[in-house]
Amino acid sequence: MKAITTSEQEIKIPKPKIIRIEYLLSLLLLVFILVLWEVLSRFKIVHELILPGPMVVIGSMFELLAAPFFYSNLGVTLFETLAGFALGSIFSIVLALIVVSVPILYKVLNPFIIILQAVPKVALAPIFVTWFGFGLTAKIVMAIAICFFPTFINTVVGLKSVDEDSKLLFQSMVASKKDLFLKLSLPTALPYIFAGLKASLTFALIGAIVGEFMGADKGIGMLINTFNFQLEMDKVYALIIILSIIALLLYLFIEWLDKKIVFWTDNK
Amino acid sequence: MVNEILKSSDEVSTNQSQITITNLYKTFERDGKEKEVLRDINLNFKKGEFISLLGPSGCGKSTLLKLIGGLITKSTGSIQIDSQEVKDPISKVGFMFQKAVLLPWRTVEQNLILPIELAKGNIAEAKLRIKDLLSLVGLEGYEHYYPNELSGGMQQRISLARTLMTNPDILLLDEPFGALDEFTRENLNFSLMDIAEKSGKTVVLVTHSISEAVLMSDRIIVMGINPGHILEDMKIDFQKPRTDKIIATEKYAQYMLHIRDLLGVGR
Repeated sequence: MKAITTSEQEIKIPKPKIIRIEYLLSLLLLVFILVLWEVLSRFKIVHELILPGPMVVIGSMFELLAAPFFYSNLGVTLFETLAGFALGSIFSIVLALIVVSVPILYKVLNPFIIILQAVPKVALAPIFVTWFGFGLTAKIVMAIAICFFPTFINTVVGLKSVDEDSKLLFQSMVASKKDLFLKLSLPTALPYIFAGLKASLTFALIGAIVGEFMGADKGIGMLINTFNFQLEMDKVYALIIILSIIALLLYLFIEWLDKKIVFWTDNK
Repeated sequence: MVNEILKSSDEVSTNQSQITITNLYKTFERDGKEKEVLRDINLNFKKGEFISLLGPSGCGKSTLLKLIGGLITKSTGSIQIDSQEVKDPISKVGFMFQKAVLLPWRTVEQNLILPIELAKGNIAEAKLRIKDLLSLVGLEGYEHYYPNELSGGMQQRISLARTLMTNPDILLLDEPFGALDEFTRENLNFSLMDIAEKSGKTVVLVTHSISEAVLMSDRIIVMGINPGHILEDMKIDFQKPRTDKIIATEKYAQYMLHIRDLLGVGR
């Protein structure tokens, strides 16, 4: 038989990327803020104890980056963050899978989930210290508590977002429950899960730092506290900037992973 | 080529009824109220017949199709395919929906393999069919494209090819091209007629286009609403293969007018 000709065989072409003027303006704004900051500090319009200038802060940053004690503290905070993130993510995804596959459980637990979600997790920090002491555990638990919900809620929403047509299709192709889950529900939920993971990774860092504020002998949070007491504000600012950069790098890593794994949502 | 890749699995005599529906009723429960959607449906479809279920929205034509495919359960009555009562979806029936529902994380090839995977079939053997099936639906060489790189019409062609992957005896098509523009739709309708005629498959097509039904079908089951019931079981008597020349005939106009009359369309 001859091939049937199609009239609609055009392929969608992705739009070319243009460098926008907005990017340039953002950069200009950044330069403006830095200059203003430097001026405010240098001409003592604002007291340097409150606002050390950017040059001083950058100097302190390099000083910190050259000091061995910085790295041992950074290691502790990173460990707490990543351990909390990993455990929190595993808990939340596994619990979401269980809750979605047992509808009764979902209905029973839903009110509790809503209430627990409303609890400001940071307020739990003193309780965790009471329960787990001043060691790593309290910080990891804090990180787990704070990064649990974004991934949990997203995974639930993702698993429930499988559309009826796809379900009917799988049903019509006599699919097993296992295949329905592995080949339809899970891939459908993946973009949602990653959205949750992206949010919770930075949350985990917040959890670790807050935990350290409650009392710790190591960690970036402890360093910030200490320098704050010693009125070495330049170092406090430097640490906050370093933390932000770390959070950004972690976020970029997860986003890269997202693009690699959930490649199909890209060129929609 | 159609005969080779889509040949019938068994040689049932053409006059034997393949799908037999007797005294079929279907009620849905919604907000505690029972709503009757299908009342007393009796039908016999023969092997190789091209049947259209035609009627306005709410006449239960889609429900009837899903019942035949075992996707939903009937209230009372009987549906048999090859003398077997339908309880669940079976592999000799292929379903196609209004949406292409291709999995965006799978290439065209991987999407076509899906029904074989789910049926725990021989994947290596199935892969050999892909090239032929793609050329059958006019998309040769598109194995490694992702669905979102294809237009709506092309996606529906892939969906058709996927339905044919398991070489089912019966095709149940629920407004398969309903979401496409008229030109693409016509194009695909002729592809479908071609495949149906040459493969000898039984086709049950749900549509709300009178002209489409008359052009394509051997039989049209005209359905009415409140509750869904059969208004008339019409035989459409045109020679095969059908071309659009029949649109210009007197007989075509008579069929059209008769159905419009039945459904109370126009004035």
